[in-house]
Amino acid sequence: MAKTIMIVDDSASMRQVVGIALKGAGYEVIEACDGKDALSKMTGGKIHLIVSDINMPVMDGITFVKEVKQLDHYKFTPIIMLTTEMEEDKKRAAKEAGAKAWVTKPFQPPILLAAIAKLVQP
Amino acid sequence: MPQVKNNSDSKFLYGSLPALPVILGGVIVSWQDGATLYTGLFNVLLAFCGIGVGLFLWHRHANELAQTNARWEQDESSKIDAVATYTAELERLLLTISPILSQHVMVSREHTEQEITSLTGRFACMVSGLQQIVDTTDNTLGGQQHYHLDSVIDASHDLLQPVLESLKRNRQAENNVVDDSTLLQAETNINQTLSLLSLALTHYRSDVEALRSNAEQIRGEINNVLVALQFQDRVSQILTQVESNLLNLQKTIQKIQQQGSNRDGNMIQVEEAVEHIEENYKLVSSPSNRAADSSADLTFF
Repeated sequence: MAKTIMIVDDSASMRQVVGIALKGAGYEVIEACDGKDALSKMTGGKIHLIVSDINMPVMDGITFVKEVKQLDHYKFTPIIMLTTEMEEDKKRAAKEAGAKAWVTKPFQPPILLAAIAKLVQP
Repeated sequence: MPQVKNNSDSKFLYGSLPALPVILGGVIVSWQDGATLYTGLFNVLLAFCGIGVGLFLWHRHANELAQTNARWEQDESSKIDAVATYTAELERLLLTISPILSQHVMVSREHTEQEITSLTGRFACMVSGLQQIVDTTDNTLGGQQHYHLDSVIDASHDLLQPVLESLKRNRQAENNVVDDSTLLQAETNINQTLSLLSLALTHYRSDVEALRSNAEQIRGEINNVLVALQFQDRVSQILTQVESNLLNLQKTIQKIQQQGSNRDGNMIQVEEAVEHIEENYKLVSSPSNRAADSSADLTFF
């Protein structure tokens, strides 16, 4: 059975690009345009991993990670931050919030897929 | 009485003779003191003259300085006026250009967005096309296999049919000896079938290798396109930012113009603006550089 991955990014093009990479590798994809939209789509269905941007309107990535960690059903879902940011402070904030990995944009699809393969539960 | 007086005068005169040297001495001393006094007074006068001359020179210099300052102020004022006129011209120019520029940026952004959407769409079509090609190739391979398998089955049928007929004949004749010609035919058929099977396997192996190599190349191209799409997306975001900044610039200029004399307080803070631009315009130098430094792109916590 294919694993489900949620992509959270305010850029439709970026969601499409990540989606193509993930679907090509056999994953099922759920898309959300910001943290709030993503939370509204987390209604109990199985999500094996979340790939989230940081700089988004309405709810940013770090706040979203903190919110996910408060949800009983999703608190153990691994989260990868996919962002253009490179500052150590932001990396530290993401780690403290509960993110499992940090991938810098623009990303090479094999790198993202390798990170996902390592974090998705078998 | 006058004589008496004269007498008393002469007495006084003569009586006072011994005092003459004292008086002369006093006069001499007084004269010396007077000379000293005159010298002192002269010196004081000289000093006053000097001070007067100094004051006069200072006054003249001060006047000259004041005149120079006045001239400089006048020059500077005319320069400031010229700059103000120039700035006003620039502002007018900016106000004229800003909407056009903003429109151009907007158009450019929309164009880029359309390009990205179109490119992404075309890319998705390309991926599905490739998928179809791969599927077709698989089917073709499958077809070849079917063809070869059919040959094997036909050959086996050709092989088995004479054997079955021979066995039938033998059973009818209740004789256990197998017909030599039938055996020979069966052996030939088996050999033909094996060579066909071997040929099919060779074709299949070479096709699989070619397919694997093509798939690797296609995968590499797909990755390159995905990275390029990300850069285009970034360019689009930057254009959005530029558009927003242009609108802000236009608003700021209008505000400055409205406030008129209170210009300095509303001037654009260049350093602040540069910092803002530095914070917002983060561009990665080139895709190849990024690809070379891929180890820094992934961090596990």
